Amino acid sequence: MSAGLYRVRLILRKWKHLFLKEWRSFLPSWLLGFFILSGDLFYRPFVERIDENTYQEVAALESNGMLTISLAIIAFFVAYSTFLREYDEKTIDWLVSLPIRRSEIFLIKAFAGAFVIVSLVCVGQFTNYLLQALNPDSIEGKNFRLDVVFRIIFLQSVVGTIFFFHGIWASRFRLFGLLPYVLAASIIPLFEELNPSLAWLNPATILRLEYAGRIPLIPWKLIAGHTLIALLFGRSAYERWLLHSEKPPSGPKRKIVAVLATSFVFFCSCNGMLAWLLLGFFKGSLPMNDPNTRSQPKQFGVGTLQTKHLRFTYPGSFERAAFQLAKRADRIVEIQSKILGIEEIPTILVDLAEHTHFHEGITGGIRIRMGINEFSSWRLLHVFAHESAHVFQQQLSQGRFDEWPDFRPFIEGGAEWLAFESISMLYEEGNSEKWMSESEWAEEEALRRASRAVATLAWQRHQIRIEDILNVKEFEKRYDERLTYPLGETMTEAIAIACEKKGIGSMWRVFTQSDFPQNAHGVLLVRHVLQRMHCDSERWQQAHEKLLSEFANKERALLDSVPRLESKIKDITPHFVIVETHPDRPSSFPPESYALAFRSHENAKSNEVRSIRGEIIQQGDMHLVFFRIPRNHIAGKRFDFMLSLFIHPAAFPYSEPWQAALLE
Amino acid sequence: MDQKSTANYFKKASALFRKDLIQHRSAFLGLFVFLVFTWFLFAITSWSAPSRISLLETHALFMRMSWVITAFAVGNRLVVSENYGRTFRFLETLPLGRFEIGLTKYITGFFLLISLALGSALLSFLFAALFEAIEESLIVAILIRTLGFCASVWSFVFMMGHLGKLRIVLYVVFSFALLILSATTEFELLRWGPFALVGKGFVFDPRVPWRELGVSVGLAFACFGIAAWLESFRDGSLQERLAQPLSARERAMTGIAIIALLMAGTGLAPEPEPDPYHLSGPHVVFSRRVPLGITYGSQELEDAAKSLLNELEASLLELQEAMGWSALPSLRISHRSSLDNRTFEIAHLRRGDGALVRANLSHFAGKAQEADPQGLEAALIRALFEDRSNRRAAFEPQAWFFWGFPIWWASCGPSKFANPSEGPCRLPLQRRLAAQLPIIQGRAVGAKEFLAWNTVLEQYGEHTAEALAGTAIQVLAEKKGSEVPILLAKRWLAPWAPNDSRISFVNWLFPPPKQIEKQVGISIDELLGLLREHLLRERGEQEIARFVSFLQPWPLARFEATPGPAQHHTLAITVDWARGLGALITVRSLRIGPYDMHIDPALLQRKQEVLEHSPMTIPLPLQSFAGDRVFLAVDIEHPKIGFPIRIFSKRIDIK
Repeated sequence: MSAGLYRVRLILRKWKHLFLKEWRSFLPSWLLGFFILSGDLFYRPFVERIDENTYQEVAALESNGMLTISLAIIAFFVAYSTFLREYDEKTIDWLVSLPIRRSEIFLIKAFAGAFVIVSLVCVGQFTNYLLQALNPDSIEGKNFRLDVVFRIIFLQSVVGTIFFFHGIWASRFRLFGLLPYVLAASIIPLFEELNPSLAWLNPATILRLEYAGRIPLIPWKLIAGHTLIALLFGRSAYERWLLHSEKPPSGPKRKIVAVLATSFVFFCSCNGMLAWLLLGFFKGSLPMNDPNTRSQPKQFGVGTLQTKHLRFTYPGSFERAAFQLAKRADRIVEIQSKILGIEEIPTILVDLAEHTHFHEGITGGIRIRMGINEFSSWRLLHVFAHESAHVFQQQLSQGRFDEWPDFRPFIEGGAEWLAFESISMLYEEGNSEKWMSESEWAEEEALRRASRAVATLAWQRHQIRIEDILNVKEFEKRYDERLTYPLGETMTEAIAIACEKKGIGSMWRVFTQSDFPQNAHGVLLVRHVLQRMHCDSERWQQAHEKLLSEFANKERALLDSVPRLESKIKDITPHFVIVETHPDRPSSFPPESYALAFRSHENAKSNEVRSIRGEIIQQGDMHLVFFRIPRNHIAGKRFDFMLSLFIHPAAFPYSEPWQAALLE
Repeated sequence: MDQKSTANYFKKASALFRKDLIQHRSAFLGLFVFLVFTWFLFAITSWSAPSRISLLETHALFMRMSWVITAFAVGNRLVVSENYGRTFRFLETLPLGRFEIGLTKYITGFFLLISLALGSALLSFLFAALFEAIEESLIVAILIRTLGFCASVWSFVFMMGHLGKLRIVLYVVFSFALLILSATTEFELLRWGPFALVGKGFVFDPRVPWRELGVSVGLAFACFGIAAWLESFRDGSLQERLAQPLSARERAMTGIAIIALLMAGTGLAPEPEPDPYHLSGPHVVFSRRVPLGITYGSQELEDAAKSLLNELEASLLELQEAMGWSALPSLRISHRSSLDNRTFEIAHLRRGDGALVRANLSHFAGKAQEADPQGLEAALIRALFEDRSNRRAAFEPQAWFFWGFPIWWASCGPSKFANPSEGPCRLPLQRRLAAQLPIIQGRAVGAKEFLAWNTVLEQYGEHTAEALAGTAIQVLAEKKGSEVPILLAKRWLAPWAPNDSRISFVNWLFPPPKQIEKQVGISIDELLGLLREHLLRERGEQEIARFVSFLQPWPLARFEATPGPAQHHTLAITVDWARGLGALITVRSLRIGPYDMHIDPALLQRKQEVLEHSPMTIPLPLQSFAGDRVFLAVDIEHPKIGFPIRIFSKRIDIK
């Protein structure tokens, strides 16, 4: 045997023994990881029928948040067992005294750790296969495809290994090494929210599966970037663990300086970046031409005003508007409490100094925040009435009402309904001149009419069912989430018709009952609530259908005047995606009525949705609307877009369903 | 203690206090920098968050996250590292009692942590006061809540620090135990004790939750008491053992035990259920003989509802007797005006709560030929079996039977078919016509296709698939006797399937086709052969012959994807049926994938056109691009047919 070959064999034997030694010591970690990733193999057969499982459910492919956390836990667990254990058990001296280079020690240890993670991922997919293998369904039983599974194994292995290298670096600082990662887990989602194109900062984005048809896409650039960063951390870990290990631990002065220096650099860089983003120096970071954007100048000088039930804080320069609102707001609150059967009205704090552009009003507990400077007096009253309804919802349900996301149509729609009802009663009260002018009342009626029109259009054109609206998560994937307002308003009106108006208050009280089913969702939840109110959900649904069909008959002309918006991707340039839209009938709506919303994926949160206005080009009787979506607002290769038409400037728009699109 | 000894204690305690500060100064300094950084970060987050209600949320975020981490870090430094580093032995030699040492450490930690908490509160008040008014009562409430939270959390952490290596295990065990209790009982973690103090209303509610504050303070005292008791342990084997770190094996076994505990907790614990559903209101009619109720929505439909009730009562009673049930579950029918005369919607109910089917009862009030009473009864029976079987009846290998038996029962059940001398019972004409469609199209319906019933439903539509399956049952009854379908129904559709995998393994070892052969003495292939013969024989009837002749040649539908800019394709369907001018074409489409799932018909986008010329191209509203997967179905309705027929159905990958 040649000397070279002999040397190679010796090296391989050394590596093999070291690898086996590491593997044995990682075995407990492997078992833990097995239970985290594949433990469902042991309990699922006892709690479900495994021949009804599908691959995507068992592999939890949509809930990549939990998977990322699991991989991170396993990777950090393994990483902390790699070197820290050697130092704690004082076997490091023995290890470095062996006839094997330190770089080889590090590489073998790293390889062994990565092998643990990759093997766990592979076993995890195998157990996923086992848990759905018995499904004979001709449609759902064939989703386990090797081409898909291998890609998923690759992506999960990459992410796990990246976390592993970060973990080795962090383990040098023991538990304190986790702190930067805990912080990063809080900061990075904020960056993503402010600028979606910064999603690359988060290695978990690799696991956010995007598909071309049925095949998951591999984000090679993202993987390359994060792998490089992980390797740099690995290199640093190698130096700290093995190259400087003989040096005595740093003295106190060095520690303090190191801590301060690191913190200062981290502090400055992160806050600097945040300030940069917030101040909008980063080009294209802010929503452009957002039809919902209302810029409000900052106000200085704040006044306060106390009424019977309310305490206002308002910008000094809007004192007249604040007083006018305050005069009527007290009565609104009294009317609402009467409708809901509330005897004791809490003192509500109203802050009129709101200056963000994300919403007209927001409520927490007994505190309402609203803007004042851009609203007419009528609109201000309506927004106040809506928000005060939320205060009463919280009070009646003892703060539980927002713990069930599927109840959102009744929360927002119910607040809209109560706003309309209370303002209507305010107008009807005796001398209407005292509270509302005729023009204000006309505006309010027009708003309600537009809201009902949007609800009816959506109901009829999109064939929306009650079950769809009450499954809010799935609903928002397909339709405009703002539909919960107009549809929720009509649904609440239907409850008032079917179950009497006074039942609306008891609807919220049901949530405080001690035997309230915590895990009920969707239509089951609503059916239970209605039953406890001594109402019938079928009667309610019949009333809702009747309400919408009567409105459709009465307002046929208005509904027919709202065009359907057909669209297509016209072009993709380096900076924009151009969408061409044409209404299917002549439209009398002004140009600024058209809007396009876009998001990176169907699970995006509402504050990750951006919207832009269109540009109208006239072509005979019909006109075309073009939208230019900035590409730097789109992370990944796919995105969704949705077209909307504001049929009333103050109402929520009519929107077509979300559509998917692909970037080259 | 007298004055001199008190002064002595304070002197010694302050020395110990200074010693701790100096010993851990780098860690405390690092923590302080970290906390300042995180406070600033939370301030920016609060400022820019769209859902911000008050800038005081900065303090809430700080207390819930950074401060808690700091409390653990301080506990680790002051208690754990003292024991782990074994410097506690040195402390014991000092002229201080064990309790005094512990008390001093407790006060040191509490002082540090409360300073940080109050510092955050003060900064947050100042920050928020720049932009909003803050009430004095709110400030007082926040401060009281902060103090209560600090006391309880620090006391807990201080106590746990005395447990050495067991503390991590116990932290995890406590966390999981609280989560499981919260998920499975009426205990609400976020509304209890210290969690409630920093919960939703922390920085919004000017009222102090005195009950939760009392619980938190009580918890603080209890934990301090336990810590004081643990302090009293003399140096020895227990302390030595607890002071040692967990080995890798111990860590892993702890993790496994906790995960097993979690699985057991989540898998076995019962959950509160919603109430059973009861129809109520003025427009409801109930049967006296079976648990059936019909809500008919308006006075005009009362007679139709009562008539329907009478018809269904007898059939359901016979079904109950045939299945050997002691009682039927609650059955309900609800009027829904938006449905047509052929569509029956099965509502989603809680498990074990019976069945609810929606139908347009106005068709039952009008001309008799508009209504489909067999279809409604079949839908009700299907829903009934779904409920009785715990959602197992529609399991695909037996799904053809699940669809066929109810329509056969509704058409040929004992109450419907009283006179065998008139010949064998047959399904209504429309269903006999629908059953012909697969053969007219020239498609094979063999065992493989029949057992992939969900694909058959998609290919032919529910109406045709139901007719085909019903005819198969009819043929089976003719061949083997009408008690055979009832026997199979009792075996396949009626039993309650438990929520575990026993039935999965049984069905895997003894699939339904094997069972039917064993039980009834006829294989699926033989049955389908008889079905085919029966269908061909029926073509001799005038009505059926006319129907078959009208549909030949079969209407064609062709799918086209025209590439557009940027990989986006325009999709269209071309229908070619010269004979069928004037027919209503309904194109249903949906982007699906990447994983195939049963498609809910209500989710399909629908476009309708009248066939004005042939061939006719209909562009789809669906936009798609290369690599996409879409589902397309084309149905045609023509007056000469009388019901919609599906001429095209496919899941397509766009190339």
